Amino acid sequence: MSVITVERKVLERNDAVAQENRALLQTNGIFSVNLLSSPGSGKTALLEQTIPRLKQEAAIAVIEGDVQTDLDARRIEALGVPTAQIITGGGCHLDANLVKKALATLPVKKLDLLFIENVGNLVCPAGYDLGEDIKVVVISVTEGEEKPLKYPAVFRNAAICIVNKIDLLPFLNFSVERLKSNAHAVNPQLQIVLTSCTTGEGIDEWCNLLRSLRRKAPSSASV
Amino acid sequence: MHELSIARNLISIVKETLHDRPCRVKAVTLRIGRLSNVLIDSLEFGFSALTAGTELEGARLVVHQPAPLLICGACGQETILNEIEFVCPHCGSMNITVKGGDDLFVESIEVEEDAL
Repeated sequence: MSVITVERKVLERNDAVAQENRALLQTNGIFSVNLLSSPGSGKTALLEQTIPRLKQEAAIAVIEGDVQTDLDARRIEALGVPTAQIITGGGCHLDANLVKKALATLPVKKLDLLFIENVGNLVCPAGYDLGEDIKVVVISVTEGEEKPLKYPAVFRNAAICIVNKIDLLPFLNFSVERLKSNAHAVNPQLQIVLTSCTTGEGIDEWCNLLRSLRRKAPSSASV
Repeated sequence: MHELSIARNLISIVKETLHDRPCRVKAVTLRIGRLSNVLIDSLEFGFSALTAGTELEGARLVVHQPAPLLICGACGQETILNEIEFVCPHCGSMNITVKGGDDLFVESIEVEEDAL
């Protein structure tokens, strides 16, 4: 009997491809955002609000990850930005290799800003680096204030938390303060923005935050 | 669900490490942090399903789950994180870093060499 020491990361192959993606994005001066949420929190609606506000100042593209259908990709294409659809066929998360293939179909030399809309799931996507600059987690007020405590991995790794559907607050027993304290207990640095993609409230604040993070990102040095 | 993808990655690391060495794999030891979102039962199930009928059939997974360590940026104390509460129990500060919570490593492989 003998024991062979290995000491290798199980997801090292994913991490290596993620680094390739990161290098490609940074070389081309592209700031990239990995959007994570449960199904139905409003990731696509957030993009529908965000893209028209930013597309005058930045060339935007979107990678859409879905388990099935290209319904979301069609909503994004209607905004007039290049869109690459990844249908995972049941897969619960995007991985770096899927994103690498999607990037090959996008005009990377001409882009400034890339949104990657992950598969709706707060568990599995948290473990897979895609090569993005920042992770943004979206939750909606109908999901309850305890989400950050139940899914700490995704909240710990995010730079921004969007709390969406705040137009519904009058109808719910939801405490924004409790949500904030739960989120900050898991990640003290997390920046929280309250939005409604129905009324547009908070969207300008979110866009400003994106602008300032983009200016600080390594990719901005390559422009 | 993603345990299956993790099992697949794990199997290819084991195969690469052994590269056709004439042996029988008895056990694979893993280090999986408690914040890594990996369900050990599902990983074992995925591993046994994917290895059935292959040279890895019957290999055991031995999983070490080190507790994450909270390091307080205010008072400097280090504490083992038992509950998912990212607050320093000594001074109440939330200015903390976590070490070791999301580890996902293959540590070692235990093999029995084939008799020549």
